[in-house]
Amino acid sequence: MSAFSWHWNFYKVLAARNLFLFSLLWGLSGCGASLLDGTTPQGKIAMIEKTNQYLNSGDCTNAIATIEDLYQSEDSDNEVRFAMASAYACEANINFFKLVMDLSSDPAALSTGFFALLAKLFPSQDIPSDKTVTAAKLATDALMAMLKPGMPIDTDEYVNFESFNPGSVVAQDRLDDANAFLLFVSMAGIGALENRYVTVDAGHKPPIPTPLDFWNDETKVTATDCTFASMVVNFADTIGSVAEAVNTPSTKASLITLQAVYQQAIFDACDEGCVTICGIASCAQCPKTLRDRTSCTGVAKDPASCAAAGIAKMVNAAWFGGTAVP
Amino acid sequence: MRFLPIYLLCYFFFLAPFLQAAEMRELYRGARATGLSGAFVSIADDEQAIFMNPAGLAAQKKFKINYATVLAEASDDLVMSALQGSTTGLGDFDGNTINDQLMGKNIYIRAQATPSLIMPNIGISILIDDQVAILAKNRVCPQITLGYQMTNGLQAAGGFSLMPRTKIQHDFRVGLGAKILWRRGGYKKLSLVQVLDVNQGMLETIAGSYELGYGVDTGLQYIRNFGKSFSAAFGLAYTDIGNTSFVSNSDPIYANLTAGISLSYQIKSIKVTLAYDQRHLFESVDAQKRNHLGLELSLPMITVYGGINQVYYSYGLSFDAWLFRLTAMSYAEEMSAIAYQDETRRYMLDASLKIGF
Repeated sequence: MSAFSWHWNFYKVLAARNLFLFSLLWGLSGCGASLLDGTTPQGKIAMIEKTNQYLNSGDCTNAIATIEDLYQSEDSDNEVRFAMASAYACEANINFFKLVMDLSSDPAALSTGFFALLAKLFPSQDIPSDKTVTAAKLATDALMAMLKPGMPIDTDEYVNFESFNPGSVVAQDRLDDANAFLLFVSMAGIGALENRYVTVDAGHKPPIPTPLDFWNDETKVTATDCTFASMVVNFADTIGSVAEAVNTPSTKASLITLQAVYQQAIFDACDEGCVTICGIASCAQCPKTLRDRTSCTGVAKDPASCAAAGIAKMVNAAWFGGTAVP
Repeated sequence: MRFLPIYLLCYFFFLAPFLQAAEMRELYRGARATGLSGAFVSIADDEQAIFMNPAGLAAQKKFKINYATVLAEASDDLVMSALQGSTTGLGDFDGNTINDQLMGKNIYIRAQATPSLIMPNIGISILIDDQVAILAKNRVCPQITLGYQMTNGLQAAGGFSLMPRTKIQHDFRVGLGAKILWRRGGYKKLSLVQVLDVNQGMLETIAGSYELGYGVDTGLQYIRNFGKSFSAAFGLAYTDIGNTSFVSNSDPIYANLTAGISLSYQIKSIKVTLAYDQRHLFESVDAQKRNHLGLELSLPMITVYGGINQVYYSYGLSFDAWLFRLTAMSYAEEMSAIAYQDETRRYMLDASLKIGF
């Protein structure tokens, strides 16, 4: 064998060895368990990012499908709950910047006709294929479960206690971002449910008689009515919470004004329901349990049901711009 | 040395990882290293060795000054928006416009200048690096990361051969580098409350003020020559040992352990180099994000690049006219935790005025 042949063969062996090494390294780098595995920190991050990717284009179905199993598991945490809430909120027709712009485009409606505006922004039909209200409810559950670490929570303040995502009815127990997003989810739920009660015409005014017929009788409060009232109260809570969290003076001032108008009106409405409609003790700031949409019993003198009736009366009055029509 | 490939395999199994979810950002982007898709640690035979693997400076036997080396890169989302032009007037700006222009987009621009002086075994470079980025996802509940980062500083490195000069078949090199940097800003993910509360004060907080940081790099190379035409190399570099940290607000530069191998074959004035690196070996990420495979075809005055950066193809072309070099290339980065989730393609242009003697 000539010297050239020997060297050429040696080079081929060396090249082959190193190419083999390249291939082995490349192959090894692809090994390992599935990376969309929620039991690992990396997998959890990947699933949350995948959910966000779907929500870039408003693909609600795939977003929910990506994160739901992890949310319903023991590996659920606040990051997962936030992703789940946004996936459900997608199904509730929330589009953040569009909603902010729509709310800002009609400043007058924020002070008069606010509830009618929400009905316009969140159309919904009471048919099986319309999941708007269901999605708003589930998004609310997920956001209520985003608790601050180490917060002591009383037993009667928990919602969904037995689940992997127990929540709190107290806004201060939750993370600021959870309350901020719950503000928008609540609006979506209120608007969608209003469309269930009445066909909102082009002028966004419902026909007579009053749309919320449980306004003067707590025993007429149904599960849907309680959900509506619960969302109104959560809306009131989150305005205050977000107003506390922001720092920009102009934004803070606007939120404090909204808080002063709506939060107090809603709390007063609860109180009127308890005192005037039901004749029971005052429930200023609304019964704590009413933040839980399953808390109303429809039994006479039930504080949550009484407060819900008071809220219905307030919404009716706000819609017509005057006192409620019996 | 015959067992070197086995040693290389062992690195992948015995490293303590840390978790990093997003883009694996680099302090330095060299045109040639990027053209090789980041597979440069075993090559590192030019001024980029100052930043990539100081051991490569052992090969420098002459003086060279890159007195004006500037690089600019931008993401395709930004480039396409600029090329198409905005058709949205101020009066038409609404939520849908924000969604269309921003959501799911990775808007990124970077400018870097690295004038350098190379002497036998030693290199010194100034670094000026500015980055601006907006990374936005999820139109339902916006997840927005704002990037504003300015880094200025000085980096010096030295590389030395441990083999006697008579040994032309082998060369084993070691190197050490040090840097002093001033950095302001970084990449900050906004909370939803911050998205609602964006104001000048917040942006100034993100930008911060310049903070001082020090860093140390080290590296080694093993070169095996088979005659005059063919060579194989192995490289290992550990940059920003222990993380290069700044006082409080500015993003740190994470430690980066890189291992790589390369093969080169030269016929007259044509040289072909194939290189493979695994970068960010300390980070707990999708292993595919560590892969860098590059091919360089050097012709007289023209160099063609191609390869795979992580899992995405890259390509480039360089024109070198002795005193002037212009390089254009395109590469893609994975912005998510795992590969194939969020590709962002970038376009880079590098120009350098240089002189050697």
